[in-house]
Amino acid sequence: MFQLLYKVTSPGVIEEFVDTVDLEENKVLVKVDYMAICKADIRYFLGLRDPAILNQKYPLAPIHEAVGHVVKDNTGKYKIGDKVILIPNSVEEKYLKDFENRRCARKYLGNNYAIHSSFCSSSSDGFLKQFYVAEPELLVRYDDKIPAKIAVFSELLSVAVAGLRRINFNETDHVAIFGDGILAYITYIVFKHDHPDTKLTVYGVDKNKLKMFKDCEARTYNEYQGEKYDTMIEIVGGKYSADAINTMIDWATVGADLILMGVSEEKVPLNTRLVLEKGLSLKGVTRSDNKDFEHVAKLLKEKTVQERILPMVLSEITINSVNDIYQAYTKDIENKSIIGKNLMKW
Amino acid sequence: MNIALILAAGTGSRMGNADKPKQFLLVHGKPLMIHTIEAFEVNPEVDKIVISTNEEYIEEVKLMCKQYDLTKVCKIVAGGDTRQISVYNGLKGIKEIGAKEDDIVIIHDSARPLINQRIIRENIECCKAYGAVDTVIKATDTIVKSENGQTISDIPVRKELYQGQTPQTFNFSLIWNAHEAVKNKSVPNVTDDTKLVLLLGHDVHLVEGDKLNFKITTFDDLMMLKALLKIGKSEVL
Repeated sequence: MFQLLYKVTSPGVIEEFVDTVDLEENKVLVKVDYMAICKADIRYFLGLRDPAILNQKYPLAPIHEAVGHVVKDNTGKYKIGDKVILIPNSVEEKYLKDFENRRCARKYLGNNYAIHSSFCSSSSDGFLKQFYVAEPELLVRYDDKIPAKIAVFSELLSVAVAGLRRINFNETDHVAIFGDGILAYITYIVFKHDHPDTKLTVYGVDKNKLKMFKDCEARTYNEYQGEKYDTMIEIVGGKYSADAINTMIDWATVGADLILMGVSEEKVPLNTRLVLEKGLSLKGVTRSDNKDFEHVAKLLKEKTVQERILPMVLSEITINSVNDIYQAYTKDIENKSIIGKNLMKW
Repeated sequence: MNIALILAAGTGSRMGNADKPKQFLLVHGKPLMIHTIEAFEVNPEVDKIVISTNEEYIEEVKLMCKQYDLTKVCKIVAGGDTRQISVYNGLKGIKEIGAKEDDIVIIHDSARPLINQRIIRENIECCKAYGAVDTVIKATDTIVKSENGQTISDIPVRKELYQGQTPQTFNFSLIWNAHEAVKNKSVPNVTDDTKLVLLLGHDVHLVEGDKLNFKITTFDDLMMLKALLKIGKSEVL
């Protein structure tokens, strides 16, 4: 069968390509139902990366946040109609034997950090197509009562799960999230579900966005009241990374854990003197693995989690042509004031 | 029930010296018609598929359906010398599998492999509302009419003109009656099923097609398809 695949070919340009769909042995054919645009997709679309890297990436099909349902299965592991989350990251077994990948075997890290691991929409084509032929282990079934427009936030949720499982803390610890963007909000959702009794404070700059963070203290940086935190999660990224991380260092208790999840294209200068004085640990987390997605599939069943995700569905755009894709990108790029995404569906 | 009727009885006479009808030619290692049928096989709204093909290829088509696991194909019938006969034979096959009057028949050329899911979905939706649907694209070139093949006799208004594609989709009873009405008659200039339905005085509604849903009729068309595939396979570095 043939289908259209959409690729970013140069900054600001998405083109149609004819793609073949061949269901090989031990593979699963999935009809993609919903897709969401990530900040990384926007960076590739706008060309906001080093031109030398971009020239190696283009043409590239974007989108790594997607859910679908099984249309055909040659593995016997799925039923026709099963609703599934698409996992965008994979690594070939042979690379795990490389010297520099040895630590991937450690449970807290995972194979997706391996050099040469593949990530859809970054190092291989993404999910911006109607049909996707998947390895069975790159799918996670989710409850068919969960609306697909909710489940499409799974990849983001999985990153939050991956970040939070790197924290080794007591429920009595004080935890702070730095950031008021979508990943910060998603991390808040996961945190409140997994640790409902732990004191959580969220710091941001946009008061309207901070209103989304209910059931916890949500403030601007100016409203800081001198507290110290045992664990802090940075989800600011970009040019404000340095300010956020150095503030975290200032507000850290001795021996605190700092989780870095925001992406910065620039190198970030840090107050290492204070890091040393307080004996702080900094951990970088952006990659989730299959177990994180499985945890997300359970989380999604929770009514509270669904209720907190729903306001992030800003619109649903049916893709009939490349113009509809441009529309979705434009809406997401222009949206600076609301936490949410303009979802795409076929 | 929604039943796709795939027309695969062409001779490929415009494909030069190909030793097989065009719908059997391999593209990306798979017969062209299989690419087309798979688009209906994976559509959740299509319940069954009937294929109308050249009588001497029926066994080969059966084997192909098994090889490519086309589980919705439930009948393969012999086509005829004309499109009209091939469709009629297909409709008889659909009747034999127990089609009801209000079932929907989606008639599609096997040589249009770039059919997309949106067109199939809109054909079914529109047919549920109106009973008869044609897939068209707006004419972008000026269409010139010449009755003698040498001079222009008319230039029709372009905005009123469309190019017909397939699928053409109908309520089963409507398309059945349309074919029964002309079964033993010679009806000139009938090149598709919508014409027969119009002869019954029934409106036919339009669904927007797609330029890529073109028919592989000549070697140029095949070359175009292969070129599109080649571009699509350009690797990510």
